[in-house]
Order: sequence, then structure tokens, then C-alpha cells
Amino acid sequence: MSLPSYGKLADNRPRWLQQLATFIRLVKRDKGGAFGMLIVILLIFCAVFANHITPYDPSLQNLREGKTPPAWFPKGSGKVTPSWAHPLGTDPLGRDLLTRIIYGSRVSLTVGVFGVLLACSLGLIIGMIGGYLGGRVDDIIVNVINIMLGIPYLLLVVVIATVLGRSLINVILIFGITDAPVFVRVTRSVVLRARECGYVEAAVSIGAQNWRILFEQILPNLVGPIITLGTLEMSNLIFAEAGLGFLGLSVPPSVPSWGNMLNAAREYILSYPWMAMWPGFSIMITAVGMNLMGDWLRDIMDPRQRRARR
Amino acid sequence: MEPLLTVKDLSVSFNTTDGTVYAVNNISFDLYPGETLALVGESGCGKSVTTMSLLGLIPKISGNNMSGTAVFNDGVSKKDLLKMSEEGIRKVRGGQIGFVFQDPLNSLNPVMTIGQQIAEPLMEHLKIDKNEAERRTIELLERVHIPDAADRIRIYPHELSGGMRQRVMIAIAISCSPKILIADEPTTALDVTIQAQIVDLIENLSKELNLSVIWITHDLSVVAGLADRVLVMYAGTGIEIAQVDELYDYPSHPYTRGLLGALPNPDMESSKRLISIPGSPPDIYTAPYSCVFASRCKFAFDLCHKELPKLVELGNNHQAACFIAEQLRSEYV
Amino acid sequence: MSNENNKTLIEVQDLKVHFYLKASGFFNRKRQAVKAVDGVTFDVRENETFGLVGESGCGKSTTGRGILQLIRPTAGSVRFENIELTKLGKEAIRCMRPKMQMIFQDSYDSLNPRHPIGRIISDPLVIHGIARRGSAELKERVSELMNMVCLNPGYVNRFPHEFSGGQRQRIGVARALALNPKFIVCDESISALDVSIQAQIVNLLQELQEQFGLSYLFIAHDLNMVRFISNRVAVMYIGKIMEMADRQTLFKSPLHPYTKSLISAAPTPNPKFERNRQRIILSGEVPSATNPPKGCVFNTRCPIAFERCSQEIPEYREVAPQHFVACHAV
Repeated sequence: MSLPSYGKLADNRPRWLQQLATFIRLVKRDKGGAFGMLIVILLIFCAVFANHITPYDPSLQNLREGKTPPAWFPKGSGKVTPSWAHPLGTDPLGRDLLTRIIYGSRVSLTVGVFGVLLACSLGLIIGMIGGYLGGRVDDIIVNVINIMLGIPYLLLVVVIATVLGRSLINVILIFGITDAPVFVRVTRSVVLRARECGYVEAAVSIGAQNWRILFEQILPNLVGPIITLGTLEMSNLIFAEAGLGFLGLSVPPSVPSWGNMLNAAREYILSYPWMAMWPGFSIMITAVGMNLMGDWLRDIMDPRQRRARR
Repeated sequence: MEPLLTVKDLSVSFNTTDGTVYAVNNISFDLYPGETLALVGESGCGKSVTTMSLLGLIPKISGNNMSGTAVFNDGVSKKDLLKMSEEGIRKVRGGQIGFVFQDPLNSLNPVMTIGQQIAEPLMEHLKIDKNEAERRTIELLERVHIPDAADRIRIYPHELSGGMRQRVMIAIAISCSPKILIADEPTTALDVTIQAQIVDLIENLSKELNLSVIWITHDLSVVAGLADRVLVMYAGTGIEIAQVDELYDYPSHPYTRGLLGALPNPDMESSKRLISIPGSPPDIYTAPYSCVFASRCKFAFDLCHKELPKLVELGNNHQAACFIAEQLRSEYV
Repeated sequence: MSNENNKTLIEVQDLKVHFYLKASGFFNRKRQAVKAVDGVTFDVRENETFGLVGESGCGKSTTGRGILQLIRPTAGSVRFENIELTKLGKEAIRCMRPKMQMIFQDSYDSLNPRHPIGRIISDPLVIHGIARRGSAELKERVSELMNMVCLNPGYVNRFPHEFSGGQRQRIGVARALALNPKFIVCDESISALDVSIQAQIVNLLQELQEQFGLSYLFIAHDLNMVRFISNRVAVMYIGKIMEMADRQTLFKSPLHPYTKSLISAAPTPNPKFERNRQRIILSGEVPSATNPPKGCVFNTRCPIAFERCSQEIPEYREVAPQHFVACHAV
């Protein structure tokens, strides 16, 4: 029996072509999402190929060229003439700001990606246990999460950072743990909702084992929300890392990171504002890009929504 | 007798990202004073859109297109409901035309007591003060048989059961002594015994208040006992209209026949099969250019796929939009 | 179709399913019982359709789930081909599942939106190790099943949302049939469908019954449909069976006042009959199962209730051969 439909042409193209067409339509419809994706791709490119695309070593000092303004700035009263040799200018030690910004994306991205991966793994495991088992275990998990979310975030981070000391691994650990509750919450609520779904009961009625139900029926529901949340959280972590760096609690000062750059630029913020401007801009654009992409991903992850919003 | 409401060539279409949806196409009907007209059809046939356009509930934004006329004759003047201003239609809606929807919990405001919700339109439409409005509210609640009406005015919608909420909706609908009551699947969400209560209530009210009722439903059984005339809709098109007995005795459109055949008759042996209509209703992405039912019709022939059949008069005020309606009707006689 | 000599397939004895509502709060552990099903007794024979009717919240769906052990009953016994299901462990129940299946009400909710329908239909076969995923015999069986329910086998790779409501319900039927069950619970399987589609599914169910000798527990609130499809019918009200008989007896000469009023409230597509019939219109609403009335659960709405009804629970007894009623007035 075929769907009798008059007026609307039946789509007889091969499946992959239809999917490609859908994807292109999705990109076209949501220009913001495409823009976000472009920024994220650019960021990844910078981080991966930082040593190939930058003209200088990030820690190469050149005191004579210190505090060079960006290339297009008027000559002004400064000692050093702006030039295209340092397009974004230099810091007080004469290190090229463009180079350091590009290298800084490495720290941001590493913290973002691995922090989210850690938080996400913890969140998925704990959330699935709580959501699927329910009862006392779930009660305990929920209460611990609520307590964790109740503690001021920054306070917790500062305490852990001072105790553990400054290193990239520690920063990732800190964010991985403090960000896990968000993932636990989302996972748990998705699992709880999915557990009540008719198709889970249908799976029980055809005799599916528990592990099958969890992995084949419930887990796929998590992919969309977790990827979306992961993207959004990544932008949050990049933000937070920069904040921590600004407070001097993130990676060691020798490592070029946006937060450290901000920290270093603080005392010059009135006289040489560009030193704080570039890392600030980078953080903002990254956050905007990831948020746009996250919103867009949320829409395309759900096959039902894909149809509804077509 | 002059009709109270004359709907002529009503068409409604919506532009969506999927294309234009032709929800209602050239629907025409009259509604006479005191009569109950049933609009019957399956989900997506445009029956709700029809009444929403009469109530001015279709947002007037670009992409929504509405044409045709719906002349409402309230005895004093004639006015076209489709061309009225926002302000004007608001006065008619809830004033001269009351309405009851399927899901009373969605139509009632959850943070207002039911007393406030009934009194408000009273004060607005009849320009009466608060005490008078409250007195009338209690009267109305008693009228729809809500026990302890004087106490019930102070409770919130969620504290009432589905049947009681529907009674409150009816009380609101009749509060300003309307001439027309539009009931959109008012009993679909209710249990059988509660459905019987509500049907009974609306039937009695329409007699007492000389109300004209437009009753929208998917269920040919519910309206069998209460409608005077029935209009059957399919894919946004009116395909058959007749007096109730005439329609059930001599269904002359293959779709109406299919609908009636699909309902089990109480005396039917279960070894028999129900008459089912193959396939499912079409998506309506083009204005109809041929018979909308042709793809599912067992009688369909060449012409049905080429030309749009018009409603033809079969006598006895019975009209059907089918090329072979006369033959089909004569089979019964 | 079936006759009284058919063997009993399922025997339900005094089945009780009680839920406990958890009071909110971490430390507050007081629990309130909802007696969703409270002592239900009936049997389903081979190759028969047993109808279960009642208003929403009467426990008819819970009864179906209790029989299939989707919800483990609180008390009572369910025997399937003389195997006591309530005493079986999880794994043993799992092994019984191929014999008893369910067709759900909401075809949209009961089909995983992320799986193509070929996978949905083949899942039961894979789970029970009958065929490997991706094997040729599995593909063949899926095509066979899709043909059986009149779906084009070319659509195996499509997703549920690409189908209409009626077609989705056919997918649900195909999944239930995959393991060659003997018994299928149809839980309001046609209520959400349009009238013309309902008839398609009912016809399909009847054809399949004749072909495979299936037994159905047909749960619905549409009296006319139950009357049409069932061999025997039980009427439920707040967790209890009020009356049970074969369909002729139940609909032609009902004894219980609730059955009488239900039948009189159900509209028929016959204007002349409808205009002239005397309806018994019950007053009031269905009481909640958390706080059911004392005595006979129906006494608060019963037109003929007398003193004893509000004090003593009427016994569910056989008043005529194969005609059971729970009422003091009968």
C-alpha cells in the first residue's frame, strides 16, 4: 500500500542524496549555525597548525619592539612605530600578540575538549545509573548534585586550583569535575523520560534484555542533547579557563593562553588597551561561535525535529 | 426562514516551509436559527480550520490566505465575519457566537478561578457590575448542572474533572446569550458516560435557548441523535450535505458510505468484515483540481482524476460532490 | 470463530495490581496505595477475542500489562498454558515473551523514532536469537511480515515518522507477529486512529486471527467496536470486573446497572434509533482509584443502589452459565 498523495511529488532520490540535500537545506536555513561552525573549524585549524602558521615563536622576546601597537594604529606618541611585522602588536616583553593568540587557542581548546569529555563521561555514567535504577541510588545522586550546584562555582574552582597547583592537567580535572553535574542532570532527565517511553515498554514486551534497552533504546536519545550541551559547555569552559587564567590560577604563566594574556595585560589596560583587547575578542568570538553551533546542532540532531522544522 | 449564518466559498490556505497547505477549499453552508449542524470528517479534513476562521481565530499574517464570505445575520444587521476588524470580531466571539473546544484544560486559564473566568466576559460584553456578574455566574453554573455552584466559583480549573471543566466551558459559551454555539469535538476527550451527560446538556440548552449549534466531530455516531443536518468534509472540501436521516439512510458519496461502513453496527456478526477505505487521506499541498477522494475510491473512473466534481442537488436538500452521486443514491431507493 | 469447547489459554485468578505513590521529599517515605486492579478473574480461550471495556482509569490497561508481566502483579495468579507466570523469574519471563505480545495504543510513542522500521520489526527475532542482524533470512522474514500487514516491503529503511498513523499501527502489528505469538494484548490499539483507518486495522486483526489462530485481549473504550470484534466481554469499573459474558448475552441482556448505562450511553450511527432511545445518564464522575467508594465501587453513581451496596462488596458470581456479575441487585 502506498501513501496516496496528490499534488506533492514523491521523493525517489537515493537516501544519501536526500540526507545531503537535507543537510544543505539545514545549513542554508540556519545561517547562524553555519557561521558558528565556520568559527569553530577556524579555531581548530589554528590550534592544530599553530606552529606552521605563526611567524614567531610565542615566547620569543624582543624588548626593543615591546608595546608595539597594532599595525593600522596611528603612529602616536609611543616609542615603537606600528608595522605589519606585528599585525596585532606586541606585549611589554615584545612577544608577537598574533602568535600568542593563535597558540592560546591550543590551551583553550584542550581545556574545552578534554574538560567536556571528562565531565561528559562522568555525567553519562552517573546520570544513567541514577535514571535507570531510580530509587535510593537516584535520590542520593540527585542530592549530591544539588549540593554541588549550590556551592559557588568560582569558589570551588579557586580552592581546588590552589590545592592542586597550576598545570594543564589540573585545570582539565577541575573543570571535568565541577562541570559534571550539568551532564548528570541532562542525562538523568533524558533517561527518566526515555524509560517511560512506549518504545521502551515495547522493547520489554518483545523480551529485550536490560543492557539492550539501555544501549539500543535509551542511549541514542542522549546523543543529541549531550552533543548540544557539550558544545555549549565547551564555550563555558573556555570562558571559565580564561577567567581562571586572569586570576592567575590556570596554566603556568609561561604558557601562552588567553587568560594569562589578559592577566598580563591588566596593568596596561589603560595605556595599551589592545593587549587586553585581542584575547578578549578571541574569547568572545569563540563563545559566540560555539553557542551558535550548539543551538544549530540541537535542531538537526532529532530526526523528528528535522521534519517538523523543514 | 432566513439563515442565521451563510458561509459561501470559504477557502483558507497557509504558506508553510513545506509549501502551501490548502486547508479549506470552497466550503459553503447555511445555518438556520435553532438548528444543529454537524461538521463531520477525519483529522486534518479542515473542519476545525473552518470554524476557527468564522471566529476570527486565524491570525491575519502574510502567508495565511482567506477568501469567501460568512454573513452573520443577527436580526438587526448583516455582517461578514471574515471581513470584520479585530475589535468587531472580538465582540461577536464570546458574545453572539459562543464556543466550546475539545480540551477544556487548555482553553481555561489555570491561574484564574472559574468564577472570574465566567464573570469577565459577562462584565465586558453586557456592561454589568461585579456583584451582578457574580450572581449571573452562579446562575449559569447551575444551568449547566454544576452542583454547589455558589462554592464552586472560587476554585481553579485543575480542581475539576474533565466533564466538569467542559461544563464550565459551556457556561462561558452561553454566558452572553449567544445565537450560535460552536462546539469543536466537545466530547472526544471524555468517557462514554460523561460524553452522554455533555451531549444531553448541550441538546437541552440548545432547545431552551433556541441556539443554533455547529457541532464538529469525527464520529458519525455521536451526531446521529443530535444533529438536524450533517456536512461531511474530506481533505478540506465539503463532499456531502443533507438532513440527518437522509444522509444516514442514503449516503451518496463513496466517502460517506465508507465512513458509515467502517462503523460496526450493533447487530453485526463479527464473522463479517467492516467496510474499510483503503489508504489514508492525502496531504493537501495543491488546490484540488480533481476529486479529492479519487485515489481511495473504488468507484473512481477517468473523469474523477481529471475534473473537480461540484455539489449536485439530489433532491430533498441533499447534495453530494460526486459524478455518480445520483446512481449511488438510487441504489438505495 | 471460537466455541465454548476451545481450550483455555490464559487463566487470570483474582489478579491484583496495586501501585504505591511515593510521597514527595527525601525523608518522607509514607506510601499511598492505588488499587489499579483489585481482584480480577477471567480466562481467555484459544482462538478467541476477549474484550475488556471500561472508562479511563478503570484499570483495563493495567490488567493487560499485569497479564504480560510488564507490571508484576501484587497478588493473584496468571496461568499461561498452565504455567504460572507470576512465579517466574525475569529470565524465564523473557523466554515466555515470544508467545505473548502486545500492540500498543500510541503507535508514535511505541516505535523508536530513531530506528528504521526494518530494524523495529526484526528486533524481536534478533533478541531471541532466531536470526542474526543483517542475515538474508532475517530480511526475508521482515519482508514476509510487512506483506502480511499490507506494508510495502520496499519501505524497510524508512523511519516511523514517515508513515501515517494507520501504517504505523501496522508496523506495531508486524512487530508483535514476528515471533509467532499465541496471545496478543491489543491495548486501545485502534482508539487513536481515524474511523476509516480503524476499520482497516480491525479487519487486519481479524484476518490474522483466522490465519494463525491467535487469541486477543482487546482492551478498548469503544463499546461498539468491542461488541463487533469480541467473543466474550468483561466490563471493568475502578479495578474490578462488574460483569462478564459472551457478547450476545452481555449486549442483549445486560444485568449489571453499570453495563446497562454504558450500553445506553454509547451512540450508534442510526439517527432514528438514537432519537427515540431512552438513555440512562449516570450522574457524577468516576471516583478516583486512590479513594474508591466503600462497598460496591459503583454505588455512588448507581441508579438502583440501596443500603447494602454502600456497606458490602458484592460477590462476583456466576448467575447463569458463563455469565458473571458482581451486583447485589441481581
